[in-house]
Amino acid sequence: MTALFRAEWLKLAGNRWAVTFFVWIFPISALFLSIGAIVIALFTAAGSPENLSDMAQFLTNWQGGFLSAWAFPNSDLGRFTIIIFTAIVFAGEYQHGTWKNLITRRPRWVIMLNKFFTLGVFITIAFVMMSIFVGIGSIVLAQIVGYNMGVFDADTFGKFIRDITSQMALTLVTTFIATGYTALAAMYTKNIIGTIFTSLLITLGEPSVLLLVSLGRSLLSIDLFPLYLLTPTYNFSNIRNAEMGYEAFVPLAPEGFVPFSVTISWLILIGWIVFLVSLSIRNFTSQDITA
Amino acid sequence: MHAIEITDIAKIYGKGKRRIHAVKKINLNIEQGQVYGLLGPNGAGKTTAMRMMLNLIRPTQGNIKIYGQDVRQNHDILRRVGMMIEGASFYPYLTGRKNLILLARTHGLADMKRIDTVLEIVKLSDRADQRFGTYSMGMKQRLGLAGALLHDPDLLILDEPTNGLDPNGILEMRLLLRDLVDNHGKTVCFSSHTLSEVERLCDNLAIIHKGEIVREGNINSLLTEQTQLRIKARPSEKASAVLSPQWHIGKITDDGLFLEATADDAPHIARALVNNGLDIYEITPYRQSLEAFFLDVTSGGEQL
Repeated sequence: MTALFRAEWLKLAGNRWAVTFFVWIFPISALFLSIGAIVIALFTAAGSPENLSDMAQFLTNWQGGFLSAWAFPNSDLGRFTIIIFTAIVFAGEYQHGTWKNLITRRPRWVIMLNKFFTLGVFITIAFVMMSIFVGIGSIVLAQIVGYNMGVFDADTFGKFIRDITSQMALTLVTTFIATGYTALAAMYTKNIIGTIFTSLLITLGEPSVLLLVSLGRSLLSIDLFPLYLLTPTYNFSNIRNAEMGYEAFVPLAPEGFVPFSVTISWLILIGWIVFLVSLSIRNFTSQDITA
Repeated sequence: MHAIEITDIAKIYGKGKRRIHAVKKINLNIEQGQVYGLLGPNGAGKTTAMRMMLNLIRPTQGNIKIYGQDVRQNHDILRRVGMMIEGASFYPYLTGRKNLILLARTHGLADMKRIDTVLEIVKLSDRADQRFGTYSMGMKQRLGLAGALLHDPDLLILDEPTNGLDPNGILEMRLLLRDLVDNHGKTVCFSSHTLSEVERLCDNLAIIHKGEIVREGNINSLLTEQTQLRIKARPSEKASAVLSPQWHIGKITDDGLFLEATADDAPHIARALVNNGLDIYEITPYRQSLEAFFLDVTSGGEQL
């Protein structure tokens, strides 16, 4: 299995153009932004130190930098970037006609599962690097501007580990769901551009389930609201709201609506991953490879 | 045990009015240690049949065994097969060598020296570190063959392997495949629509036409089974009239009269012509070319 993982890794890393613009862009941007901020701070400290306090407004506690980086992949732009890369990875096999080389050597389910796994590891490494660059960058910046980032003790560190684990998990889970959509789209469109459009339509259009809920109520007097509760969008925001201690606002919620517990939302999100990966494997194993 | 055993396979694409019978019904047994050719016009179903052998597409009916194992039940049997289907397909952004490393890892090969060996065999060592996307058609085909040979398979399934090769490349490919069969005990099943290639390389062949095998067997036997006699007699029109009640007249050309008959018929033919006052200049057995044979069995005259 290690050899198979290394084969997929070679393929991902070897596509330098795609991997640089759609994956390494995260840590590279973080590194350059951090270095840029540090350089500016150093010049400011040397020229007009009184302006250093303006830079401090971008800083929070020492954990902030590490944690904030994980929010970017969940933004529309972050997800768009990941979808493009995933489309290249999955639909590229159809477009280059290379599936046949792989699936005659290993069972299809092994190849597909390995693809998801390797892609997951690859993206995780990129996000972790980004988090480290932003985190360390903000600590160095704080030292230069003389900003106090709070205490660093066992309690704070313990809470940080819990927060970052949760943040990482949430980001990776939503990334995997987008990856699952993309893999399925690749199987039907069999080309990169078609896959990008289809998966963007699904991922970004998913919240429009609310439109169905609204139409169902006003036109057909049917309550489709429970459907919305099963979407990744609702469960993702439910977890994030709970973590930030916000009162959850759920559009079109009926009176007396009680949000899901965080555990239920996690289970639904994990269920989505299992469902999408299983469906991808099932479809792939029964698909005619004609390219 | 047969290298490949195909029983009643068929492949239908689409439904209703869009239904296409890519392969209607094929039965085929390919013995080990030979070069077996699948010959047919474009769209005859050769590639579809080969894809089914490799479990890339699922037959609508029938089953396929490789070395006695059903390819759909026992995927591991395909590890004994090397293949190249519809040209060589690799990642254009990786070098030839890296593409082979990737295949070796996917296969679980530990011996990376084998990569240099196969690159040497296909004469691509000098260009192995260039990106696949920059290769010419012939180089791509060579790399495809290197990929097929990488794990030293017992059976090679090659779809139009000489496409894009120059005359030297075609000759080298032919010698290589013959060497693999004659000196290393491999089995090669390859498809082609190039008649001369099939005639020179194959031990046995099957002609596929419109999704069905229309002829199959040893290439020499097939070409001699419909022996013709060429008769030069004057006047040829009268000769044709004399012989046609008893023998099927193929064609009448400046070279003479061609009729379907064996050498044993020659004395009877000579007697009939002489008795009718005709002068005989020549009676010779005539062996059909593969081209003529092919055109005959694929309902005469379809373009290759």
